[in-house]
Amino acid sequence: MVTYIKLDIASTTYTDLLSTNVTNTIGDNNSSSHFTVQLKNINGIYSDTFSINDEVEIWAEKDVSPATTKIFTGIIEDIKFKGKEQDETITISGRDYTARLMDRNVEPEVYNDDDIADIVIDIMDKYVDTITRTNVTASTGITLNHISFNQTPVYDALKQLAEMCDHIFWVDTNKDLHFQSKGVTSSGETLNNTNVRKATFKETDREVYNDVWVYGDTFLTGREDTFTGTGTGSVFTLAFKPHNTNVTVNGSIQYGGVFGIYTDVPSGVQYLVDYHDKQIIFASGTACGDNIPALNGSITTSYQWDRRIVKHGTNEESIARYGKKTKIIVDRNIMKPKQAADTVSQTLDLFSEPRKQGNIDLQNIVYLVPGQTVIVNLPNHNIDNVTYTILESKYIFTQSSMLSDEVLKVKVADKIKDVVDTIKQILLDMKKMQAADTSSEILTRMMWGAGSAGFRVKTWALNTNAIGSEFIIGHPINSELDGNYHMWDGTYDWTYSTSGGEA
Amino acid sequence: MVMCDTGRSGLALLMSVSGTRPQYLAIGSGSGAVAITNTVLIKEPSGLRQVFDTTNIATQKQVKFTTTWDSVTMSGMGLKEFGVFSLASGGKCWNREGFANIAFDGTNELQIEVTFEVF
Repeated sequence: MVTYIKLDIASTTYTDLLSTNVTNTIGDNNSSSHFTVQLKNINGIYSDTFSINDEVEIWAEKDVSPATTKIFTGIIEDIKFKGKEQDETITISGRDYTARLMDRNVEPEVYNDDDIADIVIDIMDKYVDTITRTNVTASTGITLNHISFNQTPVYDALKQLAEMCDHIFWVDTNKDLHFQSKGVTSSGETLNNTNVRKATFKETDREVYNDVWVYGDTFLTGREDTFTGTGTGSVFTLAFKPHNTNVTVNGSIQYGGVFGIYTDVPSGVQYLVDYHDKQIIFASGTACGDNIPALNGSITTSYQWDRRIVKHGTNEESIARYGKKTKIIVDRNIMKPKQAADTVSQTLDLFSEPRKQGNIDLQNIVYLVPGQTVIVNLPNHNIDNVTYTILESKYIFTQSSMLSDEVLKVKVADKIKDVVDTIKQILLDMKKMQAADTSSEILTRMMWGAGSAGFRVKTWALNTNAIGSEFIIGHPINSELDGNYHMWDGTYDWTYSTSGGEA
Repeated sequence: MVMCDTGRSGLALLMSVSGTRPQYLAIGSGSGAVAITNTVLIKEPSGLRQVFDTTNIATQKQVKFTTTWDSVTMSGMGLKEFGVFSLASGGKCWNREGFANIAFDGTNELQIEVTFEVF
């Protein structure tokens, strides 16, 4: 079997390819589909042929030339020239249109009581203009009580939504977004000893989480604690750790300080706040005097206390099998308890069991679509007709690989985090922290418009019409009906006199 | 030909509730260089300001006003300038155009067409 490839750049076909690599992937993989093409640049034939943003289309086919199955649509983002002696090459690379999802942000948005599919559609309609959304599922069946985004890349917002409803998403070769449930579409292929050249399967409990804590945003609410003075007691314990305390004794405002700061409480300070021990301590000393409230004195403490959104959940069956594995999620964008609870449930659903991932080198198959499912039957790997989702398809087109049918490699099953994913998560968490400080009731948007407007007189014209022998009432000459003059027939014969203007 | 400052201001004002659209064309016999700072015609005889006969908005971003004066009204006038105004008398001109003298001796009528454009 021979694999054929067809490459078009800006609608022009190129055949003198040295090598072509295409990687198609779905959103689970934290990356977009991408390509790299290397061509011979003999005598600089392609020195100015390609431009950034030119559209790239790649087809592949088994035993059919020219190939007719489109496997990739994207844009050029990098152009590299390399020359040594007689050997000149040009390498172009870029991403597919998933790049548009990565490059655009969801501006401050809040969704309440919306189906996840409706949120996806709204985000796509508002923030992404070059990708259609025909294959976004009509309904996920999961309604979110509350979710908010604040300058989150569209890609990451979709990934978060997809994880919440166990969906996957990708942009296909027709620049259309697919957002659908896992395992919906089968590729129709079974991978077994007839088409698998090499397979590596890994199962790990590195990402098992069965004890999940979610910390959301913090709200301050006010309260008032009252006490009665004993005449000798100076320490009064509050119900909660206080912020912004306001203390009065018999209606008289007291002036406060921070416990532990002073070696000798200075004059003017009447009480001290011990935040962590939740105490108000009335001061007495040489400089500050005796501020201890008198017997039966009325003490009122008004303050604000933290109400942090916190939810906790466990999967006891997973804990029994794999031991307790704790995950802590801190996200200040979580502003409602229900949203925190949903996050706990979703995390437990996804991560209570070990993850399995396979890398398979194939033959006799030329095209597999990430997002579709495939049946894997490799008994030596303890995999007996198990259905897995295709996470990634990688094509390496060289003369040798196409002739020997060693073009396609796939990655299947659950994604296991690697260093790249960890770094990505760190960057995303930093962005969320930064974005939290940008939330605001009033948002000033500045937009620079393209072009300007002007106002002018485009043209003007003066025309005259000779009245000839028309009868005109009131006219000094033409007002006498004596045979020389006739009634006006109602028409004008304007003659150009002068004109001007910009045109 | 010149689009006067008052015309630019007039357009901006029209976007609020306080502006008045141009409705009249005035003619005059004064001569003098047209300037962006012109606010009136150099010499406008009284009673010759006419309301537009027609307003044509068939072309996008353009409006064309057409006004005519009969031979009796024009008789004896040396026409050298005209301008568009919002008021039937007084006020400030949106534009002022000047040209060589055109003499009217009672045997001809006048038609003026002016096209404004937002570009």
